Amino acid sequence: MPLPSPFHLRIEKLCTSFRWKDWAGYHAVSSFDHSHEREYVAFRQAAGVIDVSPLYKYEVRGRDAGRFLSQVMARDITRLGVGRVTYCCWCDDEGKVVDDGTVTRWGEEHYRVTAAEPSLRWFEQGMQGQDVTIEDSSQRIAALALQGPRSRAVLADCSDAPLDRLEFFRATTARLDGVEVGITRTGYTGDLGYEIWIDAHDALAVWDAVIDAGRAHGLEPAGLDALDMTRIEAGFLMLDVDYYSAPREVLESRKSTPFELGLGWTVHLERDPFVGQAALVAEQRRGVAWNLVGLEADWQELEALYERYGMPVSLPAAASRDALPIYRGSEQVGRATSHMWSPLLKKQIALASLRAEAAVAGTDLAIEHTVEFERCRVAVKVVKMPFFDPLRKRQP
Amino acid sequence: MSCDAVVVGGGHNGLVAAWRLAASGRSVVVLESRDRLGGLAAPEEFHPGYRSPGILHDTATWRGWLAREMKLEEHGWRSRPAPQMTIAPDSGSVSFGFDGAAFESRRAFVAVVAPVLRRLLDREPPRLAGASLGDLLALARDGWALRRLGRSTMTELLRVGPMSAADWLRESLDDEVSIEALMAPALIGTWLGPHSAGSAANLLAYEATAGEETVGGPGALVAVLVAACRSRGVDLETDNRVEALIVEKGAVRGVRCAGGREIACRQVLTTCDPKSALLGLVPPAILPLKIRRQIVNWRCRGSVAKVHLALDGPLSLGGRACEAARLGGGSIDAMERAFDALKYRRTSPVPFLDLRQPSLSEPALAPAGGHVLSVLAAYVPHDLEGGWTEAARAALEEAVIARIERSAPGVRRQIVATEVLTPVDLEQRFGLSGGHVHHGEHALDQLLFMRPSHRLAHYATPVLGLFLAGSGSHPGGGITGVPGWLAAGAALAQAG
Amino acid sequence: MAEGKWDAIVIGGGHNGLTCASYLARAGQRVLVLERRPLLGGATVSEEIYPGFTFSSCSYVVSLLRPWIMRELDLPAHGLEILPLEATFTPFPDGGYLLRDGDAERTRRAIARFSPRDAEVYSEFGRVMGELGRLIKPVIDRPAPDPASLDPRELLDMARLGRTFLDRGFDWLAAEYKMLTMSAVDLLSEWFESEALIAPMSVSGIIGTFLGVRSPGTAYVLLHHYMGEIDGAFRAWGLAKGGTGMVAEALASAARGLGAEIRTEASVERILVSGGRVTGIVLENGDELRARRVISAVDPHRTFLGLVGEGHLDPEFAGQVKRFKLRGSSGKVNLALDGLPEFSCLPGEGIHLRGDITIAPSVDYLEQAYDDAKYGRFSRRPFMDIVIPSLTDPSVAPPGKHVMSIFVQYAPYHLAEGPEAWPSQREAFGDAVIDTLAEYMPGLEDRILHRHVLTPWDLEKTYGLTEGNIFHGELSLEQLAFQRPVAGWAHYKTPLRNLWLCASGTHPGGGIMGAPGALCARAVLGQRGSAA
Repeated sequence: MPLPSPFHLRIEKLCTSFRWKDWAGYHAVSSFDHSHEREYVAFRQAAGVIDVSPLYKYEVRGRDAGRFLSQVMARDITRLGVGRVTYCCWCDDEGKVVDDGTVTRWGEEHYRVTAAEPSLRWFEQGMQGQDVTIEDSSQRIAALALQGPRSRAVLADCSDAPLDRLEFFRATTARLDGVEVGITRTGYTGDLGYEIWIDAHDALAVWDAVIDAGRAHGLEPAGLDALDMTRIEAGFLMLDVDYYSAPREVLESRKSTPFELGLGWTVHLERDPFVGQAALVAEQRRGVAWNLVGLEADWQELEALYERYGMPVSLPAAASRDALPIYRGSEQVGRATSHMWSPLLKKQIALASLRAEAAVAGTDLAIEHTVEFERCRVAVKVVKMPFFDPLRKRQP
Repeated sequence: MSCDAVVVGGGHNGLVAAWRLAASGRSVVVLESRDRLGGLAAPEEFHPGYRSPGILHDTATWRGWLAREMKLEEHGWRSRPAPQMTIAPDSGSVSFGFDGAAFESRRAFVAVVAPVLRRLLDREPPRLAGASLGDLLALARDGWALRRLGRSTMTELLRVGPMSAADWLRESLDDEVSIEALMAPALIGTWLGPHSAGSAANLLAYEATAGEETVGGPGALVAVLVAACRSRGVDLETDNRVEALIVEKGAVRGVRCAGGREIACRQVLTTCDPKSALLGLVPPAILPLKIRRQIVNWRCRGSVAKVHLALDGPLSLGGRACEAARLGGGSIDAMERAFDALKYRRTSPVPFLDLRQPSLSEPALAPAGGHVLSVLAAYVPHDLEGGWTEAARAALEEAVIARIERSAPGVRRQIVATEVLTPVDLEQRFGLSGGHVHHGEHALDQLLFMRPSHRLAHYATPVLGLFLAGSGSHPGGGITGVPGWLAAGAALAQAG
Repeated sequence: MAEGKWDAIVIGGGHNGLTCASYLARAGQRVLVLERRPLLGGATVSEEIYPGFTFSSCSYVVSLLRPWIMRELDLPAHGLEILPLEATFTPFPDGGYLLRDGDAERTRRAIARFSPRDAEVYSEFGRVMGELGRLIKPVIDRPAPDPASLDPRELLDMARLGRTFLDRGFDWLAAEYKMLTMSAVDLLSEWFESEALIAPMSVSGIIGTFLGVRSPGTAYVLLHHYMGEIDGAFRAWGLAKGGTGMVAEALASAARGLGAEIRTEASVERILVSGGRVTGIVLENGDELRARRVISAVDPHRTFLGLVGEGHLDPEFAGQVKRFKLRGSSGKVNLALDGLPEFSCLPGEGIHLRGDITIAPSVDYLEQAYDDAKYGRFSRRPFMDIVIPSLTDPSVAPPGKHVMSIFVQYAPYHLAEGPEAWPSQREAFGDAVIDTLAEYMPGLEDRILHRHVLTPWDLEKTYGLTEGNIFHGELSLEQLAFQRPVAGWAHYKTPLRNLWLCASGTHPGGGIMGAPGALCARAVLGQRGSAA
């Protein structure tokens, strides 16, 4: 049975749908209302706030903290300045991804790592005679993601954070309703947004202040269903959906390298040794076997298909995680792992892992699509990601 | 400064490795952190005029073929039959050597299987990963050698290997006093008791390889090895601690010594234990995590203490001046009880003692008339409950002396001085992780192609040019010289 | 008359004897099973020792019963129903506890209270064990290849096995080798740091052996725990509805349905041998029964040294049989309770009572229990594995009442005073068990209506298990596979023509698996290869 999160006392009263999910052992809301649509719209048109406390958080401290993280991560963390955040993944010896998350440098010798799965032991096994400590702060620190075009206005109304100076992927401390919090300009929606890091004891006060300030800006508490849609539009991966954590799998075919996941841009190869370096260097030389890409369905064909059954196009309102086979001709060349109808883009989109030769932008492929219990195929094209990338996300 | 190869550690394995490399024309520097060469085989003054023979005092498993290969006789190496073993159980009775029909039939069995076992123990362990045709042929030859023993001998070997020493010996012998004494070489220094499965394999390995001893003991052997190395131009440096390897792009480029001096080289053979070598010398993030994990899990909990006694006259047991003795509790259970203490992080109340009086054959170890007792005392934990306080050390010393006195009344009055080295002392003095004199447990899962891990069993490591040449490699601990020899062979093969 | 009426006589109506008989009958053979006791099942038995209370007196969980045997003999149609064990519960003396159940997240959190690191790798450990189990599974479902054999078919089997591993990669082969040679505690310590997890997990390695959790060779049995998950039998660990005896009843029903004849209270006195050939058996009442083959489902000692007699054996073979170690190390206490017991650390009813309750609070505790046994005493504070079957299967106790099955280790057959001292120590042994349990379940004594104590001596005298060994021989490395029970005679055949072995003293060994019985039948019928 899941545990209550630090915000549970507030959230449970709002969750009139009783649609709960287990996220890393915590009660998490799928959608507050019976439909998640209002929450999705809030994320994209106004602002949404979601409890992301179940993320795993680790405080890495010490003189060698930056060097240590650089040895564990595929990204060179020594280049990260104080007050900055970076997105990165970490790999095993064979260069297969273990997990991904953000690293925030809060101080000269203090970093915070977020992760989808528990990673304390994984990080610790790389420690060797260095001045580093790792604290699992997952329970001590609550977190809220405040996302959407009006999120800055909401935050400005309830905190003293210097938001005009807080650039994309920067971090600052601030007072929010008298409470000391950390604020990073990051998120999982691919939009303007912030994440607020709070001592768990202050969680309810911060929640109340944010909700109060949000009333004037159309802020909605949001659940995981809406978040899932926004993250697919943003082209963000999800562990255990779009890829699997290498050490937790025994089948080689279930493991992926950062390059295969389209995360090559986060990898710094030419530097001091780090876990997986040799394998990644070799792969870069060799080229990838798989690639994670975006797909867009041919709407005309979709309509024609439904027309054959005498129906209008009818697609589920929520994102789906049931993997679908992708074909080129008669040959299966991969799988779509997350797919959805984007109300914003008016498109059927998917994240898919494809054999490299089929993963070139512009390639015409087909996705399985079931209509009236019959398996059919619909044309899809490989497209550039993210599907949705508003200017405001990065704007000062 | 630069050379072809640096050998880290000037113990017997380091000297053997250095000699082999030098004999093939390499320029070799041996760097020893202590003030003397020899490692666990180095004699050391522990009281004015009294020298211990070395931490390990048994040279019976030093390989004769290695002495021939290295032409050690030219440097004065001589061997002699192992001294008669005095067996003194706690009851006060004393007997000498082993004999009887049952012993003869055991000896006969060991004599039959010994050539096959030596084949296994004196060469690189069978290579299973990515085996080449040559490896497979070698494996087939070993299999054939085993098969030629005859079906029943072969199955017997496979049956005995995983057994406990006690179960195996009890099949043929009734006399528990003898069984206890016979088991000692399989157990001393390990985390195994008489009933621990796999201890029979240790006994087989010892009995198949033990032969004549080096005249003058470990000290004489070290002196000969040093002379042999010098004659081949090996540069031997003491008081020079290696702090780290210099690694670039996954390959060895040299070593950095305490004080910052660097020596450039393409190969490093380290005789440190696997933990000290791979977790201590190799810079972070270079070893694959998988291998790190294997080394972190490497079991090397020390279980033996070394006690040196300076006597003003010779120790006699049963009326004879005793050169070698095993002082036990007189039964399998007694030894098992001694082992039990270890499990609970305590010292055995009645320790088992493997004792030598080297000064009988090597009078130079003590002043005229004086003698030296060298005692390996089992079982003594590294992680003693409450830690190794002065009181704990005193209690250990007293337990050892009291045990000797029960077999040799009056010995206490002969004692001039004592030295007690707990596993923690051994760790600190010799840099042995866990204070383990074999550099790691001798158990089935840490021997042969698993020593020190299945990915490191052929002396080479993932760091190109780094080799493991100490007792943590096949065939393991004791003064054998084989790990050093085989590691040097691997280094020569890699260099081409 | 050279040929008797029977194609095969099976001595012993335990689960392996019945399995063997079923397979032979299915192949059209005329089979007779002879059981000494009035009840079938051997140690796979349910007994109503006290009115209304049905005890699974000896074996109490069904773990490794091969699913292919259940399918091929259609055992569910013959009444076999396995009820799942829902959790593993370990109480600690300090008032804490560890509860692991089917809810992965909850289990992870329960472990995290002791160590977040252990919680992090717990599921990874399970997956690795599952994979190691998958790789080793073919070995337990087929006769063990003999590396000393010169038979090319054997060598081919060996090569195939080697191939499986080399194909999977050297790391897996090394991991499997470690499983075979390491101690359970050493192996678990490579993964976990908390004794609260290591101790209760390690005990599966010692059940039925004369080894401690730190003894090398005990890691292997850990795999058995994970094998059930992967061989197609969902929730393989469970309780047979109506008690363990229902496994035997279902097998007997299957055997009868296939035409086998089963006689109870038919005690075999000896096996008839003439000129190195076995021709039949003699019952205790003097009746001689002839058969083309005799198949023994009793342990190797009893078979060769008892029923055949050393005089008929080659002295070397007799010596090898004698060396086969059977030192029993466990006992059983069955309780009839007038109410549900309560743990002080987790009062009330709950999932924790509906699974496996393990008294294994620390590694030192388990080692001390083992130390007692090494020196010929039963453990004063023993390891216990407890189930309360009446919670999931109300048919085994009167309404509101309960039965509690307590497996107790160590209880060495060879007491310092000799095995015959057991009857005089039986009650003291029972008291040690109850006293230990009462530390966790205060008031347990007051709920006990009846107490049924089985010492290794009783297991030998009542159930015919030599030296009280529940596996017909220790499961130590040198007594497994091609060496079980004797090297060269591990394929169910014996040096005596027409005499076969079909029970736990042969490969793949003990526990309610049925594999030895089925594999023996296949060997008798001249079929080779994997059974599955």
